[in-house]
Amino acid sequence: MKNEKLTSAQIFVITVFSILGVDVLVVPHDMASLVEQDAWISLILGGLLLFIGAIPLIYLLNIYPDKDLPQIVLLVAGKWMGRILLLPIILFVIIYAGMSTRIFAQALKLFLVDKTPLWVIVISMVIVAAYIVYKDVYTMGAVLDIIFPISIISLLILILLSLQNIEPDRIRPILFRNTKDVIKAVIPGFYHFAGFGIISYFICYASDRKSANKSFLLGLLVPVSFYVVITMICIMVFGVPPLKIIVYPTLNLSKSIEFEAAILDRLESFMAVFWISMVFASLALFYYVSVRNLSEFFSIPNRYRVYVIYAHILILPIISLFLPSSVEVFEFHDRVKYLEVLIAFAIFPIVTVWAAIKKKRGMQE
Amino acid sequence: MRILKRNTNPKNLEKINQNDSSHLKSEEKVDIRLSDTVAENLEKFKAFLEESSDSVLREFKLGSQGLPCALVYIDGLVNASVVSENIMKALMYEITMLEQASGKIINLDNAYDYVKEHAVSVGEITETSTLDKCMLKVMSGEVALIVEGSDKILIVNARGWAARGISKPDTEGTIRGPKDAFTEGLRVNTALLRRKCKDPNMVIKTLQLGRRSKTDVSYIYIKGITNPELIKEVEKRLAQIDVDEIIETGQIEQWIQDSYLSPFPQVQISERPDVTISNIIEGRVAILVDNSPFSIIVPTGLYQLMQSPEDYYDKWIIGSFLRTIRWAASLLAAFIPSLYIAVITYNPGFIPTPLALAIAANRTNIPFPAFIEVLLMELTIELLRESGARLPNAIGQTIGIVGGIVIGDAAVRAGITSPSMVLLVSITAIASFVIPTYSAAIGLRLIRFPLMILAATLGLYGVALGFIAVNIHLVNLKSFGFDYMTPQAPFITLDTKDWILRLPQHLLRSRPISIHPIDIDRMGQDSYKERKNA
Repeated sequence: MKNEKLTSAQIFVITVFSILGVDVLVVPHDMASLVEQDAWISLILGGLLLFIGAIPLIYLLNIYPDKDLPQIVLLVAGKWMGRILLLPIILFVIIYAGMSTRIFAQALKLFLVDKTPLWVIVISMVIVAAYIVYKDVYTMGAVLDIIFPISIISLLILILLSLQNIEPDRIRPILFRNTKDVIKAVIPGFYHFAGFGIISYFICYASDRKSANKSFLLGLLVPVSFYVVITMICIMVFGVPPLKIIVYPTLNLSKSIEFEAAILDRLESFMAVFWISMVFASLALFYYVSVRNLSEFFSIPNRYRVYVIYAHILILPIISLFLPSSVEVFEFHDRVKYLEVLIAFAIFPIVTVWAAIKKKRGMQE
Repeated sequence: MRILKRNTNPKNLEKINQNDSSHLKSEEKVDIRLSDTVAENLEKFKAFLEESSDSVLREFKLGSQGLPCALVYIDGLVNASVVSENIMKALMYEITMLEQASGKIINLDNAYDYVKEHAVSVGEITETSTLDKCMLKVMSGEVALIVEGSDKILIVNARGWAARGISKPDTEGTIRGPKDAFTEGLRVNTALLRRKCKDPNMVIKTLQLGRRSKTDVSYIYIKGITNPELIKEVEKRLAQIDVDEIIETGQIEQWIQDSYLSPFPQVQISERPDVTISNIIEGRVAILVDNSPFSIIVPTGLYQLMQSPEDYYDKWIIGSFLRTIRWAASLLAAFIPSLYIAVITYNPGFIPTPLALAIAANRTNIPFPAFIEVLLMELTIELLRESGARLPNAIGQTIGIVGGIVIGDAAVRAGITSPSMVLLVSITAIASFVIPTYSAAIGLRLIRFPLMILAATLGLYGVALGFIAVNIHLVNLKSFGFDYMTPQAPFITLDTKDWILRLPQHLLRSRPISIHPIDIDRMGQDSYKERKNA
């Protein structure tokens, strides 16, 4: 009776949460700093790039339907070459997980729990994430099923309530002497969709593979469109010059909402509470992926998986907390994203082509 | 009726005189094979029953030849008029007349068959050839009839004992719907179920559990609806129970549940036959235990514990409204105290300024931090609730009023707590009473306390983490291998029709898919096949 499979709806939700994480808080600021009022166009183009990057990945995963990414890489590229190819992925995942936890903890400290030390926030979240990773894939899928409606509804409320404050003039002129910046910012726009590769660790558990692929592509659409909309709204509410100063514009957006006759005075704390679950979901996914990566990299058998999980309770807070100031954190966070381009447009295609050649040879033999 | 035990207490063995046989268990002294003389068989019974004052061993002579016979039964478990009218009178008086009329002499060879076929006028008669089976029947209230010349014993069902009548349900009150509840008698309870569903496919299987108590435990399902794997799982888990006694369904529940570490109930307990039967028809298995007025229904899920039978008896709009209220109440019961602590301690700016000022003004004279204040009041409410449940009905109500009004008011005047806190704690208590399943309400009440600690230490962030942790736990919980949090996690679209909302009857075409019934259709048309063909 135990049905340890993921439904297509869960694949969809996992895809959404693998991208929609802490970046929600910073996307408008980052993009507006680069391209001013045309930030949303860069994001749309970045989203197109995301779909282009996703196609070889799907192809690769369909060649080995019952294996996850590190297994495939080691199988295709062999013991040593595979580990070399895996190394950037491992680094990216673990650093990204640590950094996004740090950024979120900083935001929480700013808006919700100003007296709590940073390390307490980070470690407590990592411990809860360890609990869910310990319970494995099926539980993760089910918990995300619960978190998904909460997060999406709170995001929609935010967007709908913000509509009363927008001034459409602020988004104009569109593409006026700005085309060069827009094109330049496509890659930074793409950075914010980091984590789409996470699906490659989960899709092998899907109960219906064909509809899982569809759910994956559909799932990519949600964060892309949400980032575009939230960036547009932030530009229209704040205007570009203030947006370059505001670090967490999405949280400030909820601050700007006049919420009349409400029992809640400060909507931004309320939103922060709901976003805890969203960032948690993304952290849990990265956590799981990192555990899988390290287990395969050091060929740790499944029965010792628990110790890899425990190790992360130490590793992740260390990575989160080793940078002292928040400015450095943002700079570092940006730099890590170069790894992502390397992974999406070098490692994934290389492994895919390699796997395709191997498959063809196998068929000829 | 054998009770095999491997271990005995070694300390006592020294004190017992090895030559004294009185401490030996009867089955160690007696050979369980029956002989064909009444005297010998009776000796075997006497070995067990001689010392008990409620046993009756009646010897008499049968027919013109005066063949020795004996009756063995337990006084108080049998219907005395059946024994005297249908057994004793028939065997001592009517059989002699029959013998004279037919001219057929009863002798050693045909006595047993003659008695069986012509004399005893009772519906249910069985034969046994071993002492332990016979003993079990006698101890369950049947009459053993030993006839000279046969190594079999005739068991006559003359059960009859004082029992409570069928009364109204105590813990699952409804305004509409049938007013009968299960009683302590297993047969009465199965009859209540049969009365509500005349489908001959409804199977009532019975087994005995408990080495000493030998309690009858029945599990009930409908062939052709219930998932066979579920039935197998129920059988497997029931068979694993090996204890001395089973007194209540709660004991069975604790033996068969999936996780003993969870405060949430993983089976549904009901005292209503209508709830039980509708669950059986949905494709679940019900377990009834003799001497217990409750049924266990498996598998269950959180959504089911929020349901009341009235949701289905009333119009769907009303049913949906009531259910929404119950879900909201369950969230309130679990999270309101911790949210209050978090907001008051860390983020007073979260609430509107006038209200925040009012609460602050109330709290200026309170010597405790919010956490201690909430904890004190919550514990007081738990005390009141417990004392109300233990006391007789009339006093229980008084305690409720005294507790609610007097203690609340006095606590505020004494400066121990603020009025807003009394309001909050009462709302929490009322909210937890809204949940129809008592055991689910207890589970939610319990998780309040760790959440309060989280709120006191980490504020709203702690509450959010606690919410996630509770969800991880709930999602991971299984009821007989089925997911506890369906239809939300994993999301099952068809089952959401009967979840937080109860959609109109004509839309509820299929049985819950999450429990994988064989027959998925609740209605005439085969909507499942239609969908497949389309």
